[in-house]
Amino acid sequence: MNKIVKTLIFTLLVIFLIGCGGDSLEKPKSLSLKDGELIADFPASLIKEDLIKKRVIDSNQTVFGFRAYKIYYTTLDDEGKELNASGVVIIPTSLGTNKETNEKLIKINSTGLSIVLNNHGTIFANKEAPSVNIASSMMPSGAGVIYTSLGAFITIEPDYIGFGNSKEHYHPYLIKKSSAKDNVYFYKAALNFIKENNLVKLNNEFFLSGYSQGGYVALAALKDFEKDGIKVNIATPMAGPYLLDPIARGVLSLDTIEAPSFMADIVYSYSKRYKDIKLEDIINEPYASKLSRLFDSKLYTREEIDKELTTKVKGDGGLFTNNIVENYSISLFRLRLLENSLISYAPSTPIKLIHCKSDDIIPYAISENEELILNTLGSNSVSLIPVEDTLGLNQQLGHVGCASYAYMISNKIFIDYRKATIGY
Amino acid sequence: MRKLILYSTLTLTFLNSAAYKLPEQSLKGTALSAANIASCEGADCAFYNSANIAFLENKNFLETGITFIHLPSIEFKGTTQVSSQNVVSNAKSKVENIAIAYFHYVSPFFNNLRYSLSITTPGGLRKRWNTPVEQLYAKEFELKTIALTPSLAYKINNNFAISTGINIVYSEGKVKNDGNLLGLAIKRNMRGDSIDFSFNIAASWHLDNGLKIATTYNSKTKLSEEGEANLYLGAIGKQYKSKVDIYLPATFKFAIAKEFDKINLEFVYERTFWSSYKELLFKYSPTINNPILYSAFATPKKKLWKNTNTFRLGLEYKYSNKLSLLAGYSYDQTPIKDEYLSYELPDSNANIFSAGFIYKYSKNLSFGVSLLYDKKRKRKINSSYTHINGEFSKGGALLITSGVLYKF
Repeated sequence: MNKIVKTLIFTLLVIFLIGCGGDSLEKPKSLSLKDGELIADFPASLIKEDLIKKRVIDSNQTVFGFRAYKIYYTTLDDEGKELNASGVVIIPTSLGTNKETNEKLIKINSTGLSIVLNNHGTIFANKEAPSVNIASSMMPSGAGVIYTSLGAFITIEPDYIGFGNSKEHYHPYLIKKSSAKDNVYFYKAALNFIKENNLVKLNNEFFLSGYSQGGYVALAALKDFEKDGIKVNIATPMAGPYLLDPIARGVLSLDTIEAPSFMADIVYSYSKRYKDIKLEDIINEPYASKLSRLFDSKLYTREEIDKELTTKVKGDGGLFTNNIVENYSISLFRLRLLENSLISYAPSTPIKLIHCKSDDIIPYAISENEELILNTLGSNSVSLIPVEDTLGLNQQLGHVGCASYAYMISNKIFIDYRKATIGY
Repeated sequence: MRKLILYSTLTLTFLNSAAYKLPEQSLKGTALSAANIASCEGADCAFYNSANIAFLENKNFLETGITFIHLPSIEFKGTTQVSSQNVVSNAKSKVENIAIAYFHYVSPFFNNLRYSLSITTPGGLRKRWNTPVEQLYAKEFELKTIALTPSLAYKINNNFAISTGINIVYSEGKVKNDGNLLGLAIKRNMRGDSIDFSFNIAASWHLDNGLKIATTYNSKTKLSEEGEANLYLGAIGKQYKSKVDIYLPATFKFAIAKEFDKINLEFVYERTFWSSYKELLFKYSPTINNPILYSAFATPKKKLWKNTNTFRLGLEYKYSNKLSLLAGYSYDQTPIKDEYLSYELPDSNANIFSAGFIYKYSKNLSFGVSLLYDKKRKRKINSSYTHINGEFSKGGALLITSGVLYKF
């Protein structure tokens, strides 16, 4: 009997002492595709709930899900050197939609989707780059929500040279040639990514857009797209600093500026690009010495950079040297700004310049003058759309506050065009 | 990650007594509805009242056995507000069938000292739902524990003994939430484990008139489950290091027992200090950047449990020299307030009925079988915190314990 009891005890102890316990959870698998990876898959229901709360839409409006891919591609910098770059491709999905919306998307998919290439506004920190920001937060970004979730477009957004996979490179801020060329490389890569991975059917319609720096990049890129034979159906550059000379002149005439980071970034970027632009000739110490850390590290946001600079424009302790303040009109810096202003090419693509009249950073007059210049150069379909008048808004919108309204107008322009041509 | 191999797939988890404690850890423990403190007289004293081992005859005592637990579905009918919308539920949790093992040992005397050892499952819970709303809260919610309890008893005189011991608790937690059936496209899959410690003390008086009085105290065990959590939004998943604290509460028991001819009767009052469980907070590293996932899975969920009373009554009838018949009843309060009741643990007050027998096969060997039925009360709630409005019903538990007792 002793033996039976001992065997029983042994068996029960074995039951205790073997088995599971302590195994780690397997990591979620990343969904890699050719030249890219899935970084966000956001349901329509949550986007809709948020937009209704913010009173952007009413509950009857169709909202699609938001699926973003980070894509990798090769681009060229201003010196002609190859760079690994990145951006995002966002497609509408039926995730979190109702049956009616799902059926609508099935129809759209069978007809084919149009592409909107959106160029984002000025950023300073790498975490603000579309592919980094979306991958980290797993959340949709503003323009992608409007064009993709509300407009049923494929939105593609480059990170720009200097951000994302090319973050080790300086960012060629408001430098026409590389900004424009990179847009074309990115577009081709995005198109290839969509086709090679069989993501969705395309209808060959292509719209170009962008806000602030993105508006500048979009308009600058039109020349390269046209020369490359890529048809842009409509472009809606928004609130862009197309004419850099009057902007710089305007800043230098002021005593203080609210956001010194923008002008400092232009000077820093030009000093990296052009050997004849010397940082210390334009920016006073101690600020000149700080710029490499502030801009090249890609760690600081605009607010953080502004705090390290001064709002005082000139004089003792001012951001700019007396030399540039007094001699700007005959300076090399001015020549480089003129070289990068969008004043020498007349695109044949229909262009709708969108701008808020009360813009506090990029004056509305910049778009008025740009419209005049493009028409004078020979563009035959350029118009300027004032945001407040178009939407019947009574409020004064600053440069930042204007963006979402401007994007809604741009989205409507693209939707109306698509409806007239594709039928949905 | 710790790779401690301690636990069996058989020793799974359950929800039986109030919240997630499990006091039925021996043949008699089940048969007497755990009214086995003052008059325990075998190896299971190692778990119920280690001071009592000082009054056992000077031999080795062993008990081991298995408890099979059947947990019927808990049903819920009502609504739950999710994303500002009331979603109607007519849900049933999954039926669970589980087996757990136990082991108790008591040594002979070393002068007036004696030691004991228990391997038990002092707590655990498992709730699994298939329906949309309930899956968001608790597709699977599981806590497994195993405790190793060595104790030392000292016989002060023929009437009075004291003891103390430590509880070494290995625990494993698993949580799964899934909002996909609700169109929310969020999901969590988390696991963690932990080794934690607490202590116990006990005292027993055996009066000359046959009255037995005992009191025991088990300190709180903070189970700090550390592991990983996979959080998903749509098709995207990210892994985080995760941590969550759960408590095995402190308990105080006072028991009094008296033998009347062939009958032994015991009454136990038990106070369980659940109030240390104030919130359920999952912590993640790195910080979750997504506000949807953060709001769903990283914000603290209030619990604010209350301390509870349990009243136990146990009866043992020595039918013959060979056969003892046992019966028990308990009234067990739930610590969970209506406002904070949710799908992972839809507990309620319970009436517990039990019975069993022990057959003395030989001078040293006995065996037996016992049964316990835990009847949970229906619970209607309308919570402005959890936004659950409806009735939880059915549930409860059926336990069958089969054990062998041996002394040598």
